[in-house]
Formats: sequence, structure tokens, C-alpha cells
Amino acid sequence: MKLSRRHHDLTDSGGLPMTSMIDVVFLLLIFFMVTVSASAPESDLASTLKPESKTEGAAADFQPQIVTVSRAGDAVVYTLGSHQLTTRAELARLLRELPKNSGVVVKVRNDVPVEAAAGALQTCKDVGFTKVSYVPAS
Amino acid sequence: MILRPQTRRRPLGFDMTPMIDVVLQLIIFFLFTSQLSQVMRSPIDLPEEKGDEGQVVSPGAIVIDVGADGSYLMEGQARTLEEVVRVVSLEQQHAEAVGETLDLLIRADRKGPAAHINMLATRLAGVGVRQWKLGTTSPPGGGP
Repeated sequence: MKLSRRHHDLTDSGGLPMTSMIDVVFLLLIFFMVTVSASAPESDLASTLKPESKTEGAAADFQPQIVTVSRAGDAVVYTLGSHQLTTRAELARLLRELPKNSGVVVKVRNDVPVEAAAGALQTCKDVGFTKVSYVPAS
Repeated sequence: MILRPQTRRRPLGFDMTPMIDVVLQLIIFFLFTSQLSQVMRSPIDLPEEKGDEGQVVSPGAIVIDVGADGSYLMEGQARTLEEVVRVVSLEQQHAEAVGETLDLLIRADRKGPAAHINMLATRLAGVGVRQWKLGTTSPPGGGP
């Protein structure tokens, strides 16, 4: 009896090479998954949480600048010393004139939106402060 | 004369095609999974700031999402403030034990009140965690 070799003939010589097609399909699939779902890149603002307790001794000579972020109606107010500022540009202008070594403390009140707190932190970083501390204001 | 049937000899040597396929797949897999941790983060309306240049969040960083309603999420799971603080405290102890610094990222909804961050930050300070990062997203125009 003669057995048919049709199956072997098909795979050995005449069949469709699926491997390459699957490779290409996988590559296309992954490419489109990556490119379609890629979201906006995130960044971050490093901040140190400064303890509320006062430091003692000679450290008082190196008190950091204190920026208080509060809310007056719908507006956000940045308070630096006796200055009350309503824009980040004004805050930046004032901060640029201050010494940077002692750092800056950003005190954020509870009713302030997060974006205003982030804006204050970003402004401090932008003008050259490396030591930026975040303090929840009571 | 006896003729020997001709046998077709396949040339010896390495077939590089499958290896290149596999290598390419591995490269794409690792490229994809390295981005996946960011892509898979829960959607949250972050403050639009350019962030701190040079700051990189490590892949093993602890990420805490703070919703505008004061909800806290870790790895997509809703947590209470106490649970968040407990988890971070344990991670802090582990990091200290192995001589590493805890990398903590707080992602807060930009429209939400800072009260939720303040509460979290105060509680974290209570367990000795004073270093953290605030998640931001790049502004659409690239400017501040």
C-alpha cells in the first residue's frame, strides 16, 4: 500500500511560512500598542517635608525664606515677608533677589488647590533654590 | 557502476533568523515594560509643571495617588490614610535596613485642595518619612 506523503510535501516545500508572518504581526501589534497608549510624560518636584518644630541655637542666623500659599476668595495669594503677591511672576521676581543658601519653606494652607502649591514649589526651583521644604500650614 | 542516490546536503551553519527575531522581541518587550509602569498609572489630573530637572523616579518607587475627593490609591487599590501610612512606614524601615533611600511619589489631583496632601505629609512625617516628590505633568506647550 502506498501511503500518501501529501502532508509532508506541504510542510516541507509548498506550505505557507507562518513564522515570519507571525513575527511581523507581533511587531506591528506591539508597535501600535506602544504608540497609541503612550501618555504624556510625567515629571516630579522633589520636596522635603520640614518638621514644624523650631531649630535652636545659632541656626537662627540661617533662617530659610518662608512663602505662605493661601487663598483669598478665588485668588491664590503668595505671602513672602510683608509682601502679598497674587501672581507667580511677582513671587519669582522677589525670590530672585533673596539669598539661596538658606533654602525656602513653602507653607501651604489646606484650602489652596494642589496646582497652586505645585506652582509655588516650581517657582522656588526655577529661581534657583535647591533646598525647598513643604510645610502644611495650620 | 552503482550510482549512489544524490542526497541534498544542507549547508552547515547557524540560522540567524530566529535568533534575530527573538532578540528583537526581547528588546521590544523590555522597552515596553519599562514604559508600562508609567502608562499603567491611574489617570489623574496632575499639576502642569515642568518639574525638577534631574529628578528621576525609580521603577521601585512607592506611588500614592490622592484624588480630589481625598481618596488615596496605591497600585490602583483604594486605601485609607492609615493603611497608606502603615505601608510607607514598613517600606521606610526596609529601605533603612538595606541602606537605601525610600523613593516616594505623591500624585495629587491639581484641582483638589491641598488639605489631603497636608494630612498625608503630616502623617508621613510622624513615621519619619520627610522626603517625597510631587508628581507633575509637562505643560502642553512645554512652558511653565
